[in-house]
Amino acid sequence: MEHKSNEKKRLFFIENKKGEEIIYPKLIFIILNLIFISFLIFFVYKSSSGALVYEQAYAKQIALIIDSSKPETNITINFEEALKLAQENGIRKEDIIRKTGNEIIVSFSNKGGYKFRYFTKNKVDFDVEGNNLIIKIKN
Amino acid sequence: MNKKAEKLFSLWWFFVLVLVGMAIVGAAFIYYSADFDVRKVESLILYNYISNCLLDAGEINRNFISDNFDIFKECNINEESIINSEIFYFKIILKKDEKPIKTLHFGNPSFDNECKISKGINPKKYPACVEKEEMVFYYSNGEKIYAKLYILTASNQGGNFIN
Repeated sequence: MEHKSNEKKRLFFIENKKGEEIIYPKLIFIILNLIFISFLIFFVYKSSSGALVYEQAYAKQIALIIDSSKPETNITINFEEALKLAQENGIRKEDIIRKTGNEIIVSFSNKGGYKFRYFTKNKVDFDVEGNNLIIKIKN
Repeated sequence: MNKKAEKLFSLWWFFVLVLVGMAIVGAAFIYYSADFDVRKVESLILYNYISNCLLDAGEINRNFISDNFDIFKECNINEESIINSEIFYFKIILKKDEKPIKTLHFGNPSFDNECKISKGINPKKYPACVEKEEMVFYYSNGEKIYAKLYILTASNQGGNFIN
């Protein structure tokens, strides 16, 4: 008697197609939506904290500082974000900023970067101390 | 809700979701790939740089009047950056009684007209310009002479991503 009732119960769950039809499409739909929204959030986060934005910002900031400063001046700027991005990409802190002629090149990866020109003849040296970049402008 | 309507509704819902997603991706892409436009600041810095070099409390640099005045040497400006790069321009005119006594201009010469055209409208492809005129003085044979110094500076530097 008991065996029969268990069998009936089992068959009920297996054959309850209507329940399955209601739950599975909704579940798949919710999972797909979640995946889609996660991709969106990931894309926006990556864009906003991406190296491209900071390479450009730092290159322009440094070039403008050089142009607007008088010789024999040391200027300290916060370099925390640059150091974090360089570390993520395996770049040494000494290699983040390069100077070719009158152009500043800021790069947080092995290839590429952003270059920006300055117009003064002043000599420029860079030094990283802690989380700061020191721009040394000499005559 | 009948099955057909439910299917249609979920399809429509997914279409709306994709549309919203595309809008967010597009907006983020446009926002973060946009240039930081510093051309106006740069031309103002160039103006101040030249002005500070030529003037000392309203008195114009004595050498400026002479024929062999080299602005790049006197003002410590990199000649290559101004002339070869074609992204900068400056023009200096010293006027006495509205007549030019001395004119100097270096850089991309087309910026001169483009600055006039773009005045007040700031089109994106045109350079950002700064122009000012101020009263100055200089000494000639011991006599103090008043004049006007007009300086126009322009920058169209956008910077470049390199590979």
